[in-house]
Amino acid sequence: MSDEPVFSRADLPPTNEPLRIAARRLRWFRAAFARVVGRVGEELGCAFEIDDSKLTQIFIRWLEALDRQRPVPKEERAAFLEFASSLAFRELISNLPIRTRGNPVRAKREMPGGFWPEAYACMIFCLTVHSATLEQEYHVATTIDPQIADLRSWWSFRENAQEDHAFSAGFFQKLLGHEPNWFVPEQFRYRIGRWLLEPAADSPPT
Amino acid sequence: MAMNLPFQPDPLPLREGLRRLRHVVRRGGETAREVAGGAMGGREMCIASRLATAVIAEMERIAEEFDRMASRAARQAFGHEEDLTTTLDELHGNAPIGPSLASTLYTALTLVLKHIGSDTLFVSELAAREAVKRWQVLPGRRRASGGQLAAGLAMQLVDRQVIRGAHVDPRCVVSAPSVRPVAIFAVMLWLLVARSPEESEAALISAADIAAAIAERVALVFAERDETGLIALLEKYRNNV
Repeated sequence: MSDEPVFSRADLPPTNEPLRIAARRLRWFRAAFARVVGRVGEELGCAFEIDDSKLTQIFIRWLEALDRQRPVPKEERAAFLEFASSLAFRELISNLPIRTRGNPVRAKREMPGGFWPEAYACMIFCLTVHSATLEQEYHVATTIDPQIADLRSWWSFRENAQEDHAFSAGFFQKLLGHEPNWFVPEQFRYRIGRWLLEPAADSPPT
Repeated sequence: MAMNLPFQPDPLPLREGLRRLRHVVRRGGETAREVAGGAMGGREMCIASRLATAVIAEMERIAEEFDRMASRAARQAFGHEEDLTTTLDELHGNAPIGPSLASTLYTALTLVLKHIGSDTLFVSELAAREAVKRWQVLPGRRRASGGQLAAGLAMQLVDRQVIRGAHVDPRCVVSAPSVRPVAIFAVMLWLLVARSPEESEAALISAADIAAAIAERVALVFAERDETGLIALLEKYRNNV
């Protein structure tokens, strides 16, 4: 098994809608989660059980978070779309809707997937939807911080996420190459640094 | 194909009667089996208990057969099936919509109750038809939004007591007072969603799960008859099914 996380749009269920819309539909969200987690299970050599009831609660809480934080200015929409997946990751980690049946046989314990397979599968799900959506909307390729394969990051992530769920949002932003605001990593308005801009906002005024 | 009859009897009262019979027999059968099983346990069941169980099973079978026949007869006489893809927005302004919508409501509510674990309750298609009739003459319907249409229909379904019975299965995923509001809300949400025949049932299950996840809020707006709050909830979640 490679150290690089594998995520591909091919793992997502088909839809006639833009992915940013489909991802906010429970039936697509659940189908996508099941497909991605199933594929990650094959990669790690273990089966995951999904708790649909938990997953629905997570989905609803994610929608609530999006509604609370959605920015009004149009030029911030792209950044918010980029930020949204870190909120989904936070919700998934705060109440993991999957558990493994048996230990992963194809992932070493010192690899993220072997160390914490449930969180790893949730991360791949969020990365898959995130990268496919940004590619579709803005033709932007998602690059991952190489630190993702470092087990020390995962030790720290696991410890901190158990104490403070918001930490997961920061961890996800970090692996996307952003420096999180560690005081309030789940707050879009307090984000640090340059995030994706709406194409119109990027071009010079005419 | 619809049959050309000189007069068209209304098959719904008969069908509903048979459904009630089946419901009562099934509920009675479950209770009898629970009692017999609890009192004597498996193999030691006495001859009388085994006989009673066999009679109940036979009555269930007969009632189900009658129900199937009545449903078939009704479809042949009127030529309509449940419409599982038309949204409330599309129904808006169409007439007559009573029989097919009532039939759809019956099917959808039954499925939702089963999904959330409370098929011990009875869904009345007759009551649904009455609710649809009253909903169709509500003032302002022509100018209403999808959410307003759904909220108006939901309140009519509550008033006509479309879901009947007192015993809520303890395995139900929502609390007993929330079952009716959750089931009705789920079906209204589903009726607002564009869906193909292939995805219709998945959409209904999805709507039921969303309704169950926000059961407290749903129950509150129904308990307070807060139609504005109900419209807001329906509009909020209609794009998330």
